[in-house]
Amino acid sequence: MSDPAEDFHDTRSRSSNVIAFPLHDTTSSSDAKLEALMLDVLADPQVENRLKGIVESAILDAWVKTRLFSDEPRDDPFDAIYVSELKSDKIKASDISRILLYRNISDLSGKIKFDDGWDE
Amino acid sequence: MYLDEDKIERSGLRQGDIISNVHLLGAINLNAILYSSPASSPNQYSSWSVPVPPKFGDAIVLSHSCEIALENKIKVTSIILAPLRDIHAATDRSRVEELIDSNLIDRSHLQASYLKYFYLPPNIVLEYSRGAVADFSKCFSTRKQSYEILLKNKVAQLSEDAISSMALKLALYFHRIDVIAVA
Repeated sequence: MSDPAEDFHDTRSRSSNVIAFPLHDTTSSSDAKLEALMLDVLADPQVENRLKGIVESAILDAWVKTRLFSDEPRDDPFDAIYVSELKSDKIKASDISRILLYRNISDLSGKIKFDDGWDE
Repeated sequence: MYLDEDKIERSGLRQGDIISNVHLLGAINLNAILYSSPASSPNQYSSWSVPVPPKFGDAIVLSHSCEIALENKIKVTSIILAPLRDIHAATDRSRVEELIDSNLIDRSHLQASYLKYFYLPPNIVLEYSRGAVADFSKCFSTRKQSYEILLKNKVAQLSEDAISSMALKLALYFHRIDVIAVA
């Protein structure tokens, strides 16, 4: 019978790929210089655009793979992906004016009844 | 109000299409639904049923034509329908005449109308000798996989003018200022 405590061990971890994250400030003067240098490089518009391009390409690549090569059928009308892909519908001012023209209309629907079982 | 037989579009659905003999799902009684759960997961519903005979009848497409256009595949997720009710079943004949007279509100700038209903006159392919009404309060939707079934059962198509009048009435049914109708 196995020791229950072992269930809490991450058996996938290996000492070689575990990164010990320091909890204290490890910044040295050389690290600070390196960080400042990195920030300078990243602030360069050309570098920024290049990085932006790399990220956008990665997103596009993932999107294409998902759409074209995924075996998962997307037939759920309640799926958020449908909403995310929708484009806004154009609304003509004339359509709004037309509806507003009649907004004060009285509804007489309650005056008529049908004897067909639908309203029971 | 209807397109001539030879003008009806047979390759796709449009707003205002009349669908014959379809399962009408509007106005479902939630209290009557029986839910089933597998013994292993009593808290998860695996199926449901309604212990009454299915109601079949005619319905009209309410979805905007653009919304259900086949070339616009992203938008076609479901098709909204409203059941047709035989005007002959109305209990007050005088009201029927009033409903018919006030149907096309955009033609005479009316102050009052029966906004819940859109009157459809008799048509040779429909069984209503005095016409029918589309009941907006009982609309329902079907998934896009039902498209072919609905298209196969399409029997009539409204003209552009009639579609516009119906859409206006549908919009006002939801948008009108909330005033209790005078009895």
